[in-house]
Amino acid sequence: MSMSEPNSIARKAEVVFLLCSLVAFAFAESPNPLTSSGGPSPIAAPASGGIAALGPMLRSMTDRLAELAGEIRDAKTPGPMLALALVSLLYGIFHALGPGHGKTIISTFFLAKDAKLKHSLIAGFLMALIHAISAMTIVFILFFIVQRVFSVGFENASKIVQTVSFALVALIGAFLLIQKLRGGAHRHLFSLGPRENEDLRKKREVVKSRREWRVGLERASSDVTVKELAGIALASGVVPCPGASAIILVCLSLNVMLAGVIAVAMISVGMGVTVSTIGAIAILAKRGVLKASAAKGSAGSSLARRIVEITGSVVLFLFGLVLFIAQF
Amino acid sequence: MKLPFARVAYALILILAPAAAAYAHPHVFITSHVVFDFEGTNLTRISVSWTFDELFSQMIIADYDRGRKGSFSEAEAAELKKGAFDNLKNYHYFLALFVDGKHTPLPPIQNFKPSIDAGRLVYSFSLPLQIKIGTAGRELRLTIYDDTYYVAFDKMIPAQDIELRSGTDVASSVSIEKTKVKAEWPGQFMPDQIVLRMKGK
Repeated sequence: MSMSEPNSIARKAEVVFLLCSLVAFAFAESPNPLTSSGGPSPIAAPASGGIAALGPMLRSMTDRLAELAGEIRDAKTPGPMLALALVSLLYGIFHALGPGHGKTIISTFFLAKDAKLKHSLIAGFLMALIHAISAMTIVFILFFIVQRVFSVGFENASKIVQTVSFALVALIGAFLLIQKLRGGAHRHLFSLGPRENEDLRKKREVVKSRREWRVGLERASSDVTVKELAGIALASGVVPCPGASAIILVCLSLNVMLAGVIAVAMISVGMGVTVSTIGAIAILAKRGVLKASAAKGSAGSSLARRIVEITGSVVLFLFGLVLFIAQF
Repeated sequence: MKLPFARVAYALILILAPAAAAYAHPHVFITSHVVFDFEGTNLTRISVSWTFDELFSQMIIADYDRGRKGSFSEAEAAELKKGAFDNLKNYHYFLALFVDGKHTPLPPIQNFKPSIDAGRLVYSFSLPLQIKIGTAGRELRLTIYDDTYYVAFDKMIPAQDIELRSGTDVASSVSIEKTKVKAEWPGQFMPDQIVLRMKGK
C-alpha cells in the first residue's frame, strides 16, 4: 500500500465535504410548532434516526439547564453555577451541530474566500459574541419592556431578526459573487489569471513540492477583510437560539439574572466552537481540493479555485435569497 | 500499512459534519400518556396527555402562570391555548390516525386543559370518535410525532403510557410497533406507533 493512500482518503473526504455541505448546511431551523404561528417551513431540515439517537442526551441537557437554574436560586456554593456553565457549553456545542446556527454562512464564505485558519476562529467567536448580545437584548426587551407573553413574542422577534439576517446573507453572497466574477480571485498567490503580476508568477514557480505548496498556501495573502468577517458573524449570530433564550427567561423569572447571562454566554461560546470548527474544516477542505488539483497542473488549479469560490458565493447568495423569500 | 488515526478521523468528521447539519434536532421533549375509552362495542374517545420537559415547562409557566401559583386560572388557560397550543392545527396536532389501514382525518380536539404537575407543564385533550367494533375485529394505529422534529416524543411503554378502558363488550390488545406512516424524506426519523386491536365479543 502506498503512502499516498491516507492522503487520498482525506482528499476524497474533502471533496465529499464540499459537495455535501453546500446542500446540507442550507436547511433552516424550524420554528417552534407550539408557539409560532403558521405551518412548517418548506425548507426546514428533516429528522433522522441518527439525530434521534442523540435525543436522550439533548433531553437530559435541556432538563438539567432548567433544574440548575432552580438550584442556583437556593445555592450557597458556586457548584450549581459552575455546572450550569459546563452544561451550557456542551449544549451550545451539540446544539449548533444541527440545522441553522450559521454553518452555511461561515462554510460557504470560507469556500469563496482565501482564508487562514485563524479567520474561522475569529468568525466563530465574533458570531458567539453577537449571538450572546442579541439573545440577551431580545429577551431583556421582551421581559422588562414589552412584558407580554414571552414565548409568542420571542417567535415573532426571531422571525423579524431572521428575515433581516437572511437579507444580509444574500447581500454578502451577491457581493462575493461580483467580487469573484470581476476577478478578485486573481489577486492570490497561486491563482493563474490575466492580471497576475510577474512577481507573483515568480514566487509560484519557486514553490513546487507538495511540502512547499502547503507552506505556500499558509503564507498566501488572504483576501478576507475585517468588515466581511464582521458581516458574516452578524448574519450568522444575530438570530437567537430558542434554547439559549428559554434558559435566560427561566433565570429571569427565577430572579437569578447572573445565571442567565452566564448560561447564554457559555451556550454562545459552545456554538462558536462548533461554527469555528466547521469554518476551519471548510478552509482545510478547500485547500485539500486545490492541492489535489495542483498536481494536475496550474490550469487545473486555477479552474478548481474558480469553481470552488464561485460555487461558494452562489450558494451563499441563493441560501440567503431563498430563506429570505420563504419568510413571507 | 496502518492508516494514520488522525487522517481517518479527519475524513470521518468531513463526511459526518454535513450529515449532522442536514437533520433537525429537537428543542422540546414530551412524554405521552394515551387512554382509549370504549362504550359498549364502540371506541368513543382517545384522551391524550403530554408532559413537557423542564425547560419548556418553565418557559410556559413563567409566561402564563402569573404569580407562580402552580396552576392556570381559566383566563390563563384560555390565553395559553391561544399562544402555545392552537397553532398545532398546522401540525396535525402531532397525531396521525389510521383505522383499518386507512388514514382517518382527526376529529375536532376537545377538552384542552393545561396543568402543572410536579413543576412540569401538562397538556390534556381528547379526540371524540365513533368506531363500531364488530366480531370481525378492527385495528387502530396512532402515531404521535412532529414532522419537523422540533418536538421529540419519548418512546412509549404500553404498560406505563397506554390505558384501555374497554369494559366487557370488547376484547382489545395494545402494542407498540413500527409506524406505517410514510416518511416524507429519505432517512426521516419516524417514531413507533400505538397499535390497538379490538374485537367485539
